Amino acid sequence: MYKKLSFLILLIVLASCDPPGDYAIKIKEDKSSGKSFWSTPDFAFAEWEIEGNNMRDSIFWAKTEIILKDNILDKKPLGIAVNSFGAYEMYWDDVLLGTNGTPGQELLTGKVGETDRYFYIPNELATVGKHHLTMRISQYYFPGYDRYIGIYFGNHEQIIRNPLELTALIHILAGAFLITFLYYLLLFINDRKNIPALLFSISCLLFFMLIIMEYLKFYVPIHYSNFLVRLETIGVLTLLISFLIPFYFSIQFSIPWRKLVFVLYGGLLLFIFIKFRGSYDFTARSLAQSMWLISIVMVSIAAFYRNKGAVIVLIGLIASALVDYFLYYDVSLFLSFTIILLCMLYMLSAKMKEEKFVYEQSLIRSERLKNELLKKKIQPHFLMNTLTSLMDWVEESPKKSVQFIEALAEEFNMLNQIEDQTLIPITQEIALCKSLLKIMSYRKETKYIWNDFNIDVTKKIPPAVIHTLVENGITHCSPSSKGAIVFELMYYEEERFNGYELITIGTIRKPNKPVAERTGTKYIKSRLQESYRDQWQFISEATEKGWKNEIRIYR
Amino acid sequence: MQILIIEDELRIAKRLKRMIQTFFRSLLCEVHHVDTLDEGLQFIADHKIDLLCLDLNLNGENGFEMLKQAVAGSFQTIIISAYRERAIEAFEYGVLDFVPKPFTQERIDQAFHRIINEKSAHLSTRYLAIKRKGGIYLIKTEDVLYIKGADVYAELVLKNGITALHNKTLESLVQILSSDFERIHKSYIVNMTEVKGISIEPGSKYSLELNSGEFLPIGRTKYKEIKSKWFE
Repeated sequence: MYKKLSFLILLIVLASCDPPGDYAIKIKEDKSSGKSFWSTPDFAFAEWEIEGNNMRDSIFWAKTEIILKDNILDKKPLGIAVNSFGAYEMYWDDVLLGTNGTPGQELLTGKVGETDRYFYIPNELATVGKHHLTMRISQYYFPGYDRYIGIYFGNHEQIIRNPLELTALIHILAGAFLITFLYYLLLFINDRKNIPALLFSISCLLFFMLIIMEYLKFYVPIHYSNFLVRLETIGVLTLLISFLIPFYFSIQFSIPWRKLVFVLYGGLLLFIFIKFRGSYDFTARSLAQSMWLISIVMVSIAAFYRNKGAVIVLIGLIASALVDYFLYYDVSLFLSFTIILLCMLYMLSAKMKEEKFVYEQSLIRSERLKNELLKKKIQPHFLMNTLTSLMDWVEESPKKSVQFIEALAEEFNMLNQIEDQTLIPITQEIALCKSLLKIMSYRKETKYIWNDFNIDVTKKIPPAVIHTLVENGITHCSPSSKGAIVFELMYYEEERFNGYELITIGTIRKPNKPVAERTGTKYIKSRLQESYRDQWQFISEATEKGWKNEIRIYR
Repeated sequence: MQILIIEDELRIAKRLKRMIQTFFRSLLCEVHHVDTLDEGLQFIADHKIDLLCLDLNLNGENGFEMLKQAVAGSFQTIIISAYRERAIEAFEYGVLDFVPKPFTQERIDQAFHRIINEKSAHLSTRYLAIKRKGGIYLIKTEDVLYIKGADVYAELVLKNGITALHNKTLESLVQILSSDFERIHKSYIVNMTEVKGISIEPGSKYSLELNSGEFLPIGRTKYKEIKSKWFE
């Protein structure tokens, strides 16, 4: 795919390297109102003004000299492509080649003629030597504009075909962007959270429209009075693209202060757009340069913080800026934008891969957690110690051992019920804790007291999380002087989060042992991550009252 | 006999204590119980004990750390644990027995018989732990050439000529060492894989010739047994 793309880009570069014709055009006002001709002695060519003046609402002459050498004759039949505002007649020496509207009659005839016109030079007129190419023009629709005329000279067929060939190639590119736009739009519709896909999709659409608008002139006749509409449209498209692309990168690289930066940046773009309105190429260039500047700064920051993919995108951005700097504008615009869009696509696919990986990891985690929960029931430490105690109780007091077995059955029964779930009612979790305490009181012959406050019975929690904290409390605390270990569970709601606080009141055996090393901490964190995806916090610390565990779930 | 139980479950500790007392019935024995490793280490430092009953999972702490220190002591160690899969490892460190939970009086009796029985139990001990300069070092039993009794200690003579003192008596060591080791004299235990042959000297003095060229005396009462077991 990259090979094909680079081949396409090469073709575009080659096809567009033909520079515009470089002919010295001079102009002179026609004060004779059509009675005299350009070749009369009054119109001495040396005294004509150079092109670029404002002729207000008068009719004027425009002329250039073309010298045909021997070698040009191979290119017969010859033709001329003209890119110019106004209604005009075109002369080759004294012969009228054709007209583009009627000069001086524009307002009467309506909008006749096109901005881009092609004229055929009959073979018998294309002789070796000096020739005059002359136009008689009026520009009533934009009398206040300076006069500029673009002339391209060559084989008649070629000068018509060349821009169409380029257009065809560029439109293949446009088609690719149209499909990409649709694909990512559908992707976004199916996953509304995927804002980068939406931004990328819009960028592709804008870019598609930009290409179409840019090349429209080669196959849709546009009267010069409508030509600025096209340029305005191109300006607006460039403005939007210049905003969207850096915004996209800022989201992909999680750039801080994004909102503020983009309010300011948007303001700058609008300022450029309004301030330089009318000088279209300059505006487009300034907008594009602002875009590069801010994108490169942001991606550099991302690269500095070792954000994944930032270096590749940075290289792409610099490459596209270099392309823009060194190549002819019409080409560079597409080439450099294509590089940027490829960078965006790269980021999108990299993120997709990352998300897929995270998703797969979450599946694995869920399986593992299910396993761990299962293991809780049958892990030898719990089971064998319980059975040993049970043997002893059986030998000592059949009545008490029956109660012990009941408590054990209850615990197993509850673990069975929850083993497949990721969230269970808090009441079920509390029941699980209580039954564990009952079992442990038979094993350790310690008094365990459970208290809970302010419990919202509608709330859910990942299974065996508080249960694990209670196990920890039993393991890491010994009874206080009163001979009991007390567990206090409290639910509370803050502005940004809900929380559970479990305090184990007893003597902490090793207060300085790191929390991370305590049994089950990993299990708790994995369970919270599974259900709340980074929107949680687990705090575990020694306090004066006893060991405190806090689980915060952010809204 | 002084016995220490390190066990964090009170019910189980009480059961064990009762069973030990049942076993020793007539013998004078005193059983102590602590429920954390730290307390256990402190108790061993302050008292002379003959036997340690150790649980391998204590309040979430790994009892193996404790085990390494315990096996270097003069007393024997019996593991009482739920983790059967760690039995082999425990034996390699030189414990006298590994009693899996849940246990019965019969199983406890079987373990404690090893204490009063002087004969080797032919265990799979692979390491002997010695205390030196405040640290615990593990010596591979296959590196030991012979062991010489020295009062209440034992002197390990290694193949490379180095000697090291072990806190256990020869009586205790012979109980835990593998079948490669034979007590040939009241003061010697020999690694029989390093033996060349028996030599008889005038006056019915028997000695064992080692591959290293050394000669060790064979006890008069042991000669017959050793000859029939190893050289016929």
